[in-house]
Amino acid sequence: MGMTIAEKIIAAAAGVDSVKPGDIHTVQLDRLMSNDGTTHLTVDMYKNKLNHPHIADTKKLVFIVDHNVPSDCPKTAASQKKMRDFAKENNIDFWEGKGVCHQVMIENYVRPGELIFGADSHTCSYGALGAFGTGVGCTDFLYGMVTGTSWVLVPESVKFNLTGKLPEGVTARDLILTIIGEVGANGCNYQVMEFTGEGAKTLSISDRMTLCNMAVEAGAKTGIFEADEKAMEYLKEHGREPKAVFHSDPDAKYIREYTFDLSKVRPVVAKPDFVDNVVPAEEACGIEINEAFLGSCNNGRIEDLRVGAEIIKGKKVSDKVRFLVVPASQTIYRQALKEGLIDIFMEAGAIVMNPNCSVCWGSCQGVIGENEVLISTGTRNFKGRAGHPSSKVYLGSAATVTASAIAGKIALPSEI
Amino acid sequence: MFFAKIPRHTRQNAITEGDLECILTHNCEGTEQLSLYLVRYIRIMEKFTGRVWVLGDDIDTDIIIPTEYLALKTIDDMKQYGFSPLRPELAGQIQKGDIIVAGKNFGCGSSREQAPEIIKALGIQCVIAKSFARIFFRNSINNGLLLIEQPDLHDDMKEGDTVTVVMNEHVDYNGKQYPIASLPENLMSIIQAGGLVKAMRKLNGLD
Repeated sequence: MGMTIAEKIIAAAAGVDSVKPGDIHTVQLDRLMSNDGTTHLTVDMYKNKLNHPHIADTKKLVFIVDHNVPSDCPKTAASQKKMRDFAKENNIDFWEGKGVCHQVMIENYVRPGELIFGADSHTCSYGALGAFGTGVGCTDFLYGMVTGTSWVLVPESVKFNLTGKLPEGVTARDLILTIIGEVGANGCNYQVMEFTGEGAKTLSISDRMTLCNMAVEAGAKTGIFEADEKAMEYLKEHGREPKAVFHSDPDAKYIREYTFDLSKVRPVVAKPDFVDNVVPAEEACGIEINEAFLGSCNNGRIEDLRVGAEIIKGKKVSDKVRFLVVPASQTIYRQALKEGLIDIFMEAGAIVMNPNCSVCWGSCQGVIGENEVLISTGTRNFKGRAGHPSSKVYLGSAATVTASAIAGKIALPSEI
Repeated sequence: MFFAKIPRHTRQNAITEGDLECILTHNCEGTEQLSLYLVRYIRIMEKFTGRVWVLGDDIDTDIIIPTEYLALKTIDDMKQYGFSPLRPELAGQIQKGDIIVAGKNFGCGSSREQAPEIIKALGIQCVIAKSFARIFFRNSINNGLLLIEQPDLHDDMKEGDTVTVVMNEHVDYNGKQYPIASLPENLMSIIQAGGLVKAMRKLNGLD
């Protein structure tokens, strides 16, 4: 029987000819990524819970400080020191302040065909390059670190057949929110979201990251694209070769199929407190905001900054709003400097921050207070996610967020 | 769901939390394969009763433990803030042995492992929900928090009432039985005793 891309990656990692949904396999992991959200816990368990701990292959490990960088209090400084020292002692690749972990991983490590575990739920982003990335907790991470292996239950795949092309002013961000609004916040629980079709080919690697990154918000184990010419070109630019390029077989089995016509997608907003609470952006227009956030592993890439800069050029951020602009990596930041985008944002009154997770995870910088409202290109809008339990988060595209920052209320670029 | 494949009886004497244990799994072709597994015990009793707290759909990990408290030193320091964005008083009201009954997609969101740890530290002995998010599910197994999937109980459940869970069979509530999945031993059974565990540890250079 035919297999999907995800099934082929798992089969290769398990060293077997074929797998099917429901099988449990022991797999060799190609890489393991952990950030400052939980690495200190892994280090504690490694040092205190194992009789004779060792690391299967230090070359497979990547530690990235991005959640609270630079550290914001003695507690985070201590947990980061623990992580930094451990990386040094064990010769583990260590990144600090260089970008949000998933952006750093895509720019520097991820290869098509790899199976990657990350101690962060948005590890599913790596499907943009045809890799199987999935989020795990620190105990699973520790196990992978020690043995180089883990177990996986082979997930069913759901096919998202994309047709057409996104209209002008509509972004991949609008598309993935539309998809999650349709399938629901647990619509693909424990499944793989495979994005395919002619429409998928029109999407850039950045767009693909935006889609795969939020697969977990539909409950999925991962999101994945076939590694096509665009992916190969990206790899070449970044000096890497694929591990293996897999295609889904014509007779591969999908548990469900959806078709989305990209030309029909319109700007949307996810209202508090659930990512699947998606409405046409017009329905949220007029809601007053206190802060706007352009950044995160979902939407902090150069393409997103260009969208924002084009809208805000020559205009001013509302005096009722703090507008945070946070490039997802230093590479992106420097590119934005070269293109003059940072100048445009600063001229307009935005607060440009160093690459980090920022307000998206509600603990870094930009946390919002009692009853405040944020519009964000971040990943989640759960109750209290960005700060005070009474605060509210709306999710929108780079265009909607920037237009809202200017208007002082949720707005579309056409209203500015 | 994966939890249906947890062995019916986890042995509680031969190994302790944190050990690497060898488990035998059978894939669907019946082929056996050996895996090492880091043990965090799930202590499963045959039958137990508990007072119920009712929560809704999509209880996410930021509700279970908000980000701002993750920097606290220990789980015991954090647990008083469990569920605080939704019900600030709840953590103080939960008593050891209580049960949470929730709607769909319990535990969605972040991979933070503090979420199941806090629920366990509050004394909750199991969560019964319509469905669970996958990362949370895996983390719960690894942290010894028992999860049970049951589609109908939540709709009938009244907070403060008690339910009785008969493992592998059903939940008793208000004179009605709500069936739950059994935990089939043929899919994943732990190999007996420490001998093989020790052997596997040696094989992996861990002892």
